[in-house]
Amino acid sequence: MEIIAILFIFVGFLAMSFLWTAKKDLFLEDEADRCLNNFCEVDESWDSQGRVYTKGLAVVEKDGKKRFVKQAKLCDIGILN
Amino acid sequence: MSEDVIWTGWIPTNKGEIDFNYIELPDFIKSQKNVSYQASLKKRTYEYLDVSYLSDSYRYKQYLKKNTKKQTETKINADISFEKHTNNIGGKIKITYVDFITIESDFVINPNGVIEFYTFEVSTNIQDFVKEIKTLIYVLVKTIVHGDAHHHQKIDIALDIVEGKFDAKVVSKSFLNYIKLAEKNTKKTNNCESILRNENIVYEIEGYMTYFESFKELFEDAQIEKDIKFAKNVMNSLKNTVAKRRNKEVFSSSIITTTIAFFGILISTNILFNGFWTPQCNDIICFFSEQNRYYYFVGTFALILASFFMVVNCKLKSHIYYYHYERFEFLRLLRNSNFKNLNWYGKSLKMIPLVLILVGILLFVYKYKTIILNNGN
Repeated sequence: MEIIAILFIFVGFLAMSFLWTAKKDLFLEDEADRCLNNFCEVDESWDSQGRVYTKGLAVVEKDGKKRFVKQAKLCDIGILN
Repeated sequence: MSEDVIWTGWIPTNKGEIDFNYIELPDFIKSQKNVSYQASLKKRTYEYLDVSYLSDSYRYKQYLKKNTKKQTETKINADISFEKHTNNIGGKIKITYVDFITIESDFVINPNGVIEFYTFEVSTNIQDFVKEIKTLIYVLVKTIVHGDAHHHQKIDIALDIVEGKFDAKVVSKSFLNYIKLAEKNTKKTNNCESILRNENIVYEIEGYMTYFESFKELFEDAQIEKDIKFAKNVMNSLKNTVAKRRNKEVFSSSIITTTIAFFGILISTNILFNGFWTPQCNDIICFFSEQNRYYYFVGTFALILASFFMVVNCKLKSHIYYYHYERFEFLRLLRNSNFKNLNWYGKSLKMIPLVLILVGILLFVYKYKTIILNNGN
Protein backbone atom coordinates (compact mmCIF):
# COMPACT_ATOMS: atom_id res chain seq x y z
CA MET A 1 0.00 0.00 0.00
CA GLU A 2 2.90 2.35 0.73
CA ILE A 3 4.09 1.93 -2.85
CA ILE A 4 0.68 2.96 -4.20
CA ALA A 5 0.61 5.92 -1.79
CA ILE A 6 4.07 7.04 -2.98
CA LEU A 7 2.98 6.71 -6.63
CA PHE A 8 -0.10 8.86 -5.96
CA ILE A 9 2.05 11.53 -4.32
CA PHE A 10 4.59 11.33 -7.15
CA VAL A 11 1.96 11.76 -9.88
CA GLY A 12 0.40 14.54 -7.80
CA PHE A 13 3.68 16.47 -7.72
CA LEU A 14 4.17 15.82 -11.43
CA ALA A 15 0.71 17.22 -12.20
CA MET A 16 1.41 20.14 -9.86
CA SER A 17 4.48 21.10 -11.89
CA PHE A 18 2.22 21.40 -14.96
CA LEU A 19 -0.80 23.05 -13.39
CA TRP A 20 0.44 25.26 -10.57
CA THR A 21 2.97 28.00 -10.37
CA ALA A 22 4.58 29.66 -7.40
CA LYS A 23 5.41 32.81 -9.37
CA LYS A 24 2.45 35.08 -9.90
CA ASP A 25 2.65 36.89 -13.23
CA LEU A 26 -0.15 39.42 -13.58
CA PHE A 27 0.35 39.80 -17.34
CA LEU A 28 0.10 36.04 -17.93
CA GLU A 29 -2.86 35.85 -15.56
CA ASP A 30 -4.69 38.44 -17.65
CA GLU A 31 -3.73 36.62 -20.84
CA ALA A 32 -5.07 33.32 -19.48
CA ASP A 33 -8.34 34.99 -18.52
CA ARG A 34 -8.56 36.67 -21.95
CA CYS A 35 -8.09 33.37 -23.78
CA LEU A 36 -10.11 31.07 -21.52
CA ASN A 37 -13.01 33.44 -20.93
CA ASN A 38 -12.99 36.03 -23.70
CA PHE A 39 -12.11 34.16 -26.91
CA CYS A 40 -8.55 35.62 -26.97
CA GLU A 41 -10.16 38.79 -28.33
CA VAL A 42 -7.90 41.79 -28.87
CA ASP A 43 -8.37 45.40 -29.88
CA GLU A 44 -5.87 47.94 -31.15
CA SER A 45 -4.63 48.72 -27.63
CA TRP A 46 -3.45 45.17 -26.87
CA ASP A 47 0.29 44.89 -26.34
CA SER A 48 2.22 41.61 -26.36
CA GLN A 49 4.97 43.11 -24.17
CA GLY A 50 7.57 41.97 -26.66
CA ARG A 51 6.43 38.35 -26.73
CA VAL A 52 5.70 36.33 -29.85
CA TYR A 53 2.05 35.72 -30.62
CA THR A 54 -0.24 34.34 -33.29
CA LYS A 55 -3.37 35.89 -34.70
CA GLY A 56 -6.65 34.09 -35.17
CA LEU A 57 -10.17 34.86 -36.27
CA ALA A 58 -13.43 33.58 -34.82
CA VAL A 59 -17.15 34.12 -34.91
CA VAL A 60 -18.58 34.23 -31.43
CA GLU A 61 -22.09 34.44 -30.06
CA LYS A 62 -22.85 36.48 -26.99
CA ASP A 63 -26.39 36.95 -25.74
CA GLY A 64 -27.80 35.70 -29.06
CA LYS A 65 -25.71 38.05 -31.27
CA LYS A 66 -22.99 36.73 -33.57
CA ARG A 67 -19.94 38.72 -34.59
CA PHE A 68 -16.38 38.31 -35.79
CA VAL A 69 -13.57 38.84 -33.28
CA LYS A 70 -9.88 39.39 -33.97
CA GLN A 71 -7.70 37.25 -31.76
CA ALA A 72 -4.13 37.07 -30.52
CA LYS A 73 -2.49 34.40 -28.43
CA LEU A 74 0.98 34.31 -26.90
CA CYS A 75 2.97 31.36 -28.16
CA ASP A 76 6.26 30.44 -29.66
CA ILE A 77 6.56 30.62 -33.40
CA GLY A 78 5.60 27.02 -33.60
CA ILE A 79 7.07 23.84 -34.84
CA LEU A 80 7.20 23.47 -38.54
CA ASN A 81 6.08 19.89 -38.77
CA MET B 1 -21.60 41.32 -51.89
CA SER B 2 -19.06 40.72 -54.60
CA GLU B 3 -15.61 42.21 -55.01
CA ASP B 4 -13.40 42.08 -58.04
CA VAL B 5 -10.23 42.69 -56.04
CA ILE B 6 -7.64 40.03 -56.66
CA TRP B 7 -5.28 39.02 -53.93
CA THR B 8 -2.31 36.73 -54.33
CA GLY B 9 0.18 34.69 -52.37
CA TRP B 10 2.86 32.05 -52.79
CA ILE B 11 2.49 28.35 -52.05
CA PRO B 12 5.91 27.03 -51.03
CA THR B 13 7.57 24.56 -53.34
CA ASN B 14 11.24 23.66 -53.08
CA LYS B 15 11.38 21.87 -56.41
CA GLY B 16 10.26 25.02 -58.18
CA GLU B 17 6.96 23.66 -59.47
CA ILE B 18 3.63 22.80 -57.84
CA ASP B 19 2.73 19.17 -58.37
CA PHE B 20 -0.99 18.32 -58.59
CA ASN B 21 -0.32 14.76 -57.37
CA TYR B 22 0.92 16.03 -54.00
CA ILE B 23 -2.35 17.78 -53.17
CA GLU B 24 -3.69 15.98 -50.13
CA LEU B 25 -5.42 16.62 -46.81
CA PRO B 26 -3.07 16.77 -43.83
CA ASP B 27 -3.65 13.90 -41.37
CA PHE B 28 -5.18 16.07 -38.66
CA ILE B 29 -7.99 17.04 -41.07
CA LYS B 30 -8.26 13.69 -42.85
CA SER B 31 -8.95 11.90 -39.56
CA GLN B 32 -12.07 13.98 -38.87
CA LYS B 33 -15.38 12.09 -38.75
CA ASN B 34 -17.47 13.81 -41.43
CA VAL B 35 -14.82 14.60 -44.01
CA SER B 36 -15.65 13.52 -47.53
CA TYR B 37 -13.05 13.49 -50.27
CA GLN B 38 -12.75 12.28 -53.82
CA ALA B 39 -9.54 12.14 -55.80
CA SER B 40 -8.87 11.40 -59.44
CA LEU B 41 -6.00 12.16 -61.82
CA LYS B 42 -7.44 15.58 -62.68
CA LYS B 43 -9.72 16.48 -59.80
CA ARG B 44 -9.68 16.64 -56.01
CA THR B 45 -12.81 17.47 -53.98
CA TYR B 46 -12.85 17.87 -50.20
CA GLU B 47 -16.07 18.56 -48.31
CA TYR B 48 -17.20 19.13 -44.71
CA LEU B 49 -13.71 19.92 -43.44
CA ASP B 50 -13.90 21.15 -39.85
CA VAL B 51 -11.46 24.05 -39.82
CA SER B 52 -12.47 25.48 -36.44
CA TYR B 53 -8.79 25.20 -35.46
CA LEU B 54 -8.28 28.46 -37.34
CA SER B 55 -9.68 30.22 -34.31
CA ASP B 56 -7.29 30.81 -31.41
CA SER B 57 -9.87 30.01 -28.76
CA TYR B 58 -12.00 27.22 -30.25
CA ARG B 59 -10.02 24.61 -28.36
CA TYR B 60 -10.81 26.23 -25.03
CA LYS B 61 -14.52 26.84 -25.58
CA GLN B 62 -15.54 24.27 -22.97
CA TYR B 63 -13.75 26.30 -20.30
CA LEU B 64 -15.81 29.42 -20.84
CA LYS B 65 -17.86 30.53 -17.88
CA LYS B 66 -21.24 29.78 -19.39
CA ASN B 67 -23.07 30.45 -16.14
CA THR B 68 -22.18 34.11 -15.98
CA LYS B 69 -21.99 34.96 -19.69
CA LYS B 70 -24.12 33.35 -22.36
CA GLN B 71 -21.45 32.90 -24.95
CA THR B 72 -20.25 30.34 -27.43
CA GLU B 73 -18.09 30.02 -30.51
CA THR B 74 -19.21 29.12 -34.02
CA LYS B 75 -17.90 26.08 -35.84
CA ILE B 76 -16.17 26.62 -39.19
CA ASN B 77 -16.60 24.27 -42.15
CA ALA B 78 -14.88 24.35 -45.52
CA ASP B 79 -15.36 22.77 -48.95
CA ILE B 80 -12.42 22.93 -51.36
CA SER B 81 -11.90 21.55 -54.85
CA PHE B 82 -8.95 21.52 -57.25
CA GLU B 83 -8.90 20.81 -60.98
CA LYS B 84 -5.82 20.19 -63.07
CA HIS B 85 -5.63 22.30 -66.23
CA THR B 86 -2.96 22.29 -68.96
CA ASN B 87 -1.08 25.30 -67.59
CA ASN B 88 -2.27 25.64 -64.03
CA ILE B 89 -4.54 24.32 -61.27
CA GLY B 90 -7.96 25.87 -60.82
CA GLY B 91 -10.00 25.69 -57.65
CA LYS B 92 -12.91 26.82 -55.51
CA ILE B 93 -13.19 27.31 -51.79
CA LYS B 94 -16.25 27.87 -49.62
CA ILE B 95 -15.97 28.62 -45.91
CA THR B 96 -19.07 28.47 -43.72
CA TYR B 97 -19.35 29.93 -40.24
CA VAL B 98 -22.35 27.82 -39.24
CA ASP B 99 -25.66 29.78 -39.08
CA PHE B 100 -23.85 33.03 -39.76
CA ILE B 101 -21.89 33.61 -42.94
CA THR B 102 -20.52 31.93 -46.05
CA ILE B 103 -17.47 33.13 -47.95
CA GLU B 104 -16.59 31.86 -51.43
CA SER B 105 -13.67 32.36 -53.72
CA ASP B 106 -12.25 30.99 -56.98
CA PHE B 107 -8.53 30.70 -57.43
CA VAL B 108 -5.79 29.67 -59.83
CA ILE B 109 -2.45 28.18 -58.79
CA ASN B 110 0.36 28.78 -61.27
CA PRO B 111 3.17 26.23 -61.69
CA ASN B 112 5.65 28.52 -59.87
CA GLY B 113 3.43 28.49 -56.76
CA VAL B 114 1.80 31.89 -57.20
CA ILE B 115 -1.86 31.65 -56.21
CA GLU B 116 -4.35 34.20 -57.49
CA PHE B 117 -7.81 34.66 -55.99
CA TYR B 118 -10.11 36.30 -58.48
CA THR B 119 -13.51 36.30 -56.79
CA PHE B 120 -14.56 37.07 -53.24
CA GLU B 121 -18.19 36.62 -52.28
CA VAL B 122 -19.44 37.15 -48.76
CA SER B 123 -23.03 36.83 -47.58
CA THR B 124 -22.88 39.83 -45.24
CA ASN B 125 -20.79 42.93 -44.61
CA ILE B 126 -17.43 42.16 -42.99
CA GLN B 127 -15.48 45.25 -43.95
CA ASP B 128 -13.19 45.28 -40.87
CA PHE B 129 -12.14 41.66 -41.32
CA VAL B 130 -11.54 41.40 -45.08
CA LYS B 131 -7.71 41.15 -44.83
CA GLU B 132 -7.90 38.46 -42.12
CA ILE B 133 -10.46 36.42 -44.08
CA LYS B 134 -8.42 36.62 -47.28
CA THR B 135 -5.34 35.44 -45.38
CA LEU B 136 -7.39 32.67 -43.81
CA ILE B 137 -8.56 31.45 -47.23
CA TYR B 138 -4.97 31.52 -48.53
CA VAL B 139 -3.69 29.60 -45.48
CA LEU B 140 -6.34 26.90 -45.93
CA VAL B 141 -5.54 26.34 -49.60
CA LYS B 142 -1.80 26.43 -48.83
CA THR B 143 -2.26 23.86 -46.04
CA ILE B 144 -3.77 21.37 -48.48
CA VAL B 145 -1.53 22.04 -51.47
CA HIS B 146 1.69 22.28 -49.46
CA GLY B 147 0.60 19.99 -46.60
CA ASP B 148 2.01 22.25 -43.91
CA ALA B 149 0.33 23.79 -40.88
CA HIS B 150 2.12 25.61 -38.10
CA HIS B 151 0.87 23.75 -35.02
CA HIS B 152 -2.52 23.68 -36.73
CA GLN B 153 -2.35 27.39 -37.09
CA LYS B 154 -3.28 30.16 -37.98
CA ILE B 155 -3.56 33.17 -40.08
CA ASP B 156 -0.39 35.13 -39.60
CA ILE B 157 2.43 32.63 -39.15
CA ALA B 158 2.44 32.18 -42.86
CA LEU B 159 3.76 34.07 -45.81
CA ASP B 160 2.01 37.37 -46.32
CA ILE B 161 -0.72 37.78 -48.90
CA VAL B 162 -0.47 40.57 -51.46
CA GLU B 163 -3.45 42.77 -52.31
CA GLY B 164 -3.66 42.94 -56.10
CA LYS B 165 -0.94 41.69 -58.41
CA PHE B 166 1.75 39.36 -57.06
CA ASP B 167 4.81 41.08 -55.62
CA ALA B 168 7.71 38.72 -54.84
CA LYS B 169 9.39 41.33 -52.61
CA VAL B 170 6.48 41.23 -50.12
CA VAL B 171 6.75 37.45 -49.82
CA SER B 172 10.56 37.61 -49.59
CA LYS B 173 10.27 40.07 -46.70
CA SER B 174 7.87 37.75 -44.87
CA PHE B 175 10.37 34.87 -45.26
CA LEU B 176 13.05 37.06 -43.66
CA ASN B 177 10.66 38.23 -40.91
CA TYR B 178 9.77 34.66 -40.04
CA ILE B 179 13.42 33.63 -39.67
CA LYS B 180 14.07 36.69 -37.49
CA LEU B 181 11.04 35.75 -35.40
CA ALA B 182 12.48 32.25 -34.89
CA GLU B 183 15.78 33.71 -33.69
CA LYS B 184 14.12 36.24 -31.39
CA ASN B 185 11.80 33.61 -30.00
CA THR B 186 14.65 31.17 -29.34
CA LYS B 187 16.67 33.83 -27.52
CA LYS B 188 13.70 34.67 -25.32
CA THR B 189 12.77 31.09 -24.48
CA ASN B 190 15.71 29.82 -22.47
CA ASN B 191 13.57 27.58 -20.28
CA CYS B 192 13.06 23.99 -19.35
CA GLU B 193 10.22 23.13 -21.72
CA SER B 194 11.87 24.70 -24.77
CA ILE B 195 15.11 22.66 -24.72
CA LEU B 196 14.12 20.11 -27.37
CA ARG B 197 12.36 22.67 -29.51
CA ASN B 198 15.27 25.10 -29.41
CA GLU B 199 17.68 22.33 -30.42
CA ASN B 200 15.47 21.41 -33.39
CA ILE B 201 14.58 24.90 -34.53
CA VAL B 202 17.97 25.19 -36.23
CA TYR B 203 17.18 22.24 -38.49
CA GLU B 204 13.66 23.48 -39.07
CA ILE B 205 14.84 26.90 -40.13
CA GLU B 206 17.45 25.28 -42.38
CA GLY B 207 14.54 23.47 -44.06
CA TYR B 208 12.69 26.78 -44.32
CA MET B 209 15.76 28.29 -45.98
CA THR B 210 15.60 25.71 -48.78
CA TYR B 211 12.17 27.11 -49.72
CA PHE B 212 13.56 30.63 -49.53
CA GLU B 213 16.40 29.62 -51.88
CA SER B 214 13.92 28.07 -54.34
CA PHE B 215 11.85 31.24 -54.13
CA LYS B 216 14.93 33.28 -55.04
CA GLU B 217 15.57 31.09 -58.08
CA LEU B 218 11.97 31.47 -59.23
CA PHE B 219 11.70 35.24 -58.80
CA GLU B 220 15.17 36.64 -59.41
CA ASP B 221 15.51 40.09 -57.91
CA ALA B 222 18.28 42.12 -56.24
CA GLN B 223 16.14 42.81 -53.15
CA ILE B 224 15.42 39.09 -52.70
CA GLU B 225 19.17 38.32 -52.94
CA LYS B 226 19.74 40.87 -50.19
CA ASP B 227 16.97 39.41 -48.01
CA ILE B 228 18.55 35.94 -48.36
CA LYS B 229 21.92 37.29 -47.19
CA PHE B 230 20.29 38.91 -44.14
CA ALA B 231 18.37 35.70 -43.46
CA LYS B 232 21.66 33.77 -43.44
CA ASN B 233 23.12 36.22 -40.92
CA VAL B 234 20.10 35.80 -38.65
CA MET B 235 20.36 32.04 -39.10
CA ASN B 236 24.00 32.08 -37.95
CA SER B 237 23.04 34.08 -34.89
CA LEU B 238 20.34 31.49 -34.12
CA LYS B 239 22.83 28.62 -34.52
CA ASN B 240 25.31 30.31 -32.18
CA THR B 241 22.67 30.90 -29.51
CA VAL B 242 21.68 27.23 -29.56
CA ALA B 243 25.32 26.00 -29.65
CA LYS B 244 26.29 28.23 -26.70
CA ARG B 245 23.42 26.87 -24.58
CA ARG B 246 24.29 23.28 -25.52
CA ASN B 247 27.92 23.91 -24.51
CA LYS B 248 26.85 25.24 -21.11
CA GLU B 249 24.58 22.25 -20.55
CA VAL B 250 27.31 19.72 -21.46
CA PHE B 251 29.70 21.47 -19.06
CA SER B 252 27.21 21.39 -16.15
CA SER B 253 26.29 17.75 -16.85
CA SER B 254 29.97 16.73 -16.81
CA ILE B 255 30.40 18.20 -13.28
CA ILE B 256 27.32 16.31 -12.02
CA THR B 257 28.40 13.03 -13.69
CA THR B 258 31.93 13.28 -12.27
CA THR B 259 30.63 14.01 -8.75
CA ILE B 260 28.26 11.01 -8.86
CA ALA B 261 31.02 8.73 -10.27
CA PHE B 262 33.52 9.66 -7.53
CA PHE B 263 30.89 9.32 -4.81
CA GLY B 264 30.14 5.83 -6.18
CA ILE B 265 33.86 4.92 -6.09
CA LEU B 266 34.12 6.13 -2.49
CA ILE B 267 31.19 3.95 -1.39
CA SER B 268 32.30 0.84 -3.29
CA THR B 269 35.96 0.95 -2.08
CA ASN B 270 34.78 1.35 1.51
CA ILE B 271 32.44 -1.62 1.17
CA LEU B 272 35.30 -3.63 -0.35
CA PHE B 273 37.75 -2.92 2.48
CA ASN B 274 35.48 -2.47 5.49
CA GLY B 275 32.38 -4.51 4.67
CA PHE B 276 28.89 -3.35 5.49
CA TRP B 277 28.94 -3.97 9.18
CA THR B 278 30.98 -6.02 11.61
CA PRO B 279 33.41 -8.66 10.23
CA GLN B 280 31.29 -11.36 11.93
CA CYS B 281 28.09 -10.25 10.29
CA ASN B 282 29.02 -8.38 7.15
CA ASP B 283 26.00 -9.32 5.13
CA ILE B 284 23.22 -6.82 4.56
CA ILE B 285 20.57 -9.48 5.28
CA CYS B 286 22.12 -9.97 8.69
CA PHE B 287 22.00 -6.22 9.36
CA PHE B 288 18.40 -5.58 8.36
CA SER B 289 15.54 -7.53 9.84
CA GLU B 290 12.79 -8.68 7.43
CA GLN B 291 10.47 -5.84 8.48
CA ASN B 292 13.18 -3.16 8.35
CA ARG B 293 14.30 -4.27 4.90
CA TYR B 294 10.79 -3.58 3.59
CA TYR B 295 10.75 -0.08 5.09
CA TYR B 296 14.17 0.66 3.68
CA PHE B 297 12.90 -0.50 0.31
CA VAL B 298 9.91 1.86 0.55
CA GLY B 299 12.21 4.68 1.66
CA THR B 300 14.68 4.18 -1.18
CA PHE B 301 11.79 3.81 -3.66
CA ALA B 302 10.47 7.23 -2.59
CA LEU B 303 13.97 8.70 -2.75
CA ILE B 304 14.63 7.30 -6.23
CA LEU B 305 11.24 8.53 -7.49
CA ALA B 306 11.95 12.00 -6.10
CA SER B 307 15.36 12.13 -7.82
CA PHE B 308 13.81 10.69 -10.99
CA PHE B 309 11.16 13.42 -10.86
CA MET B 310 13.81 16.13 -10.58
CA VAL B 311 15.79 14.76 -13.53
CA VAL B 312 12.85 13.81 -15.73
CA ASN B 313 10.56 16.78 -15.03
CA CYS B 314 12.38 19.09 -17.41
CA LYS B 315 12.74 16.52 -20.20
CA LEU B 316 9.14 15.41 -19.87
CA LYS B 317 7.93 19.00 -20.21
CA SER B 318 10.22 19.52 -23.16
CA HIS B 319 8.83 16.40 -24.84
CA ILE B 320 5.18 17.35 -24.29
CA TYR B 321 5.92 20.87 -25.45
CA TYR B 322 7.44 19.60 -28.69
CA TYR B 323 5.02 16.84 -29.61
CA HIS B 324 1.77 18.00 -28.00
CA TYR B 325 2.07 21.73 -28.29
CA GLU B 326 -1.66 22.51 -28.09
CA ARG B 327 -2.08 20.54 -24.90
CA PHE B 328 0.94 22.19 -23.37
CA GLU B 329 -0.33 25.60 -24.40
CA PHE B 330 -3.63 24.89 -22.68
CA LEU B 331 -1.85 23.70 -19.52
CA ARG B 332 0.19 26.91 -19.53
CA LEU B 333 -3.01 28.98 -19.66
CA LEU B 334 -4.50 26.92 -16.86
CA ARG B 335 -1.32 27.21 -14.77
CA ASN B 336 -1.26 30.98 -15.01
CA SER B 337 -4.99 31.51 -14.62
CA ASN B 338 -6.55 32.84 -11.47
CA PHE B 339 -8.58 30.08 -9.79
CA LYS B 340 -11.68 32.23 -9.43
CA ASN B 341 -11.74 33.00 -13.17
CA LEU B 342 -12.18 29.33 -14.14
CA ASN B 343 -15.44 27.46 -14.54
CA TRP B 344 -16.08 24.23 -12.63
CA TYR B 345 -14.34 22.17 -15.34
CA GLY B 346 -11.18 24.27 -15.21
CA LYS B 347 -11.28 24.35 -11.41
CA SER B 348 -11.57 20.55 -11.28
CA LEU B 349 -8.52 20.16 -13.53
CA LYS B 350 -6.53 22.56 -11.42
CA MET B 351 -7.41 20.60 -8.27
CA ILE B 352 -6.15 17.25 -9.63
CA PRO B 353 -2.65 17.50 -8.04
CA LEU B 354 -4.11 18.28 -4.63
CA VAL B 355 -6.52 15.33 -4.86
CA LEU B 356 -3.74 12.92 -5.87
CA ILE B 357 -1.43 14.03 -3.06
CA LEU B 358 -4.27 13.85 -0.51
CA VAL B 359 -5.17 10.31 -1.64
CA GLY B 360 -1.49 9.32 -1.22
CA ILE B 361 -1.33 10.81 2.29
CA LEU B 362 -4.64 9.20 3.29
CA LEU B 363 -3.37 5.81 2.12
CA PHE B 364 -0.29 6.28 4.36
CA VAL B 365 -2.44 7.34 7.29
CA TYR B 366 -4.79 4.38 6.79
CA LYS B 367 -1.86 1.93 6.65
CA TYR B 368 -0.06 3.21 9.77
CA LYS B 369 -3.26 3.69 11.73
CA THR B 370 -3.97 -0.02 11.19
CA ILE B 371 -0.43 -0.97 12.35
CA ILE B 372 -0.67 1.25 15.47
CA LEU B 373 -4.11 -0.13 16.34
CA ASN B 374 -2.84 -3.72 15.87
CA ASN B 375 0.19 -3.03 18.11
CA GLY B 376 -2.12 -1.50 20.74
CA ASN B 377 -4.23 -4.65 20.82
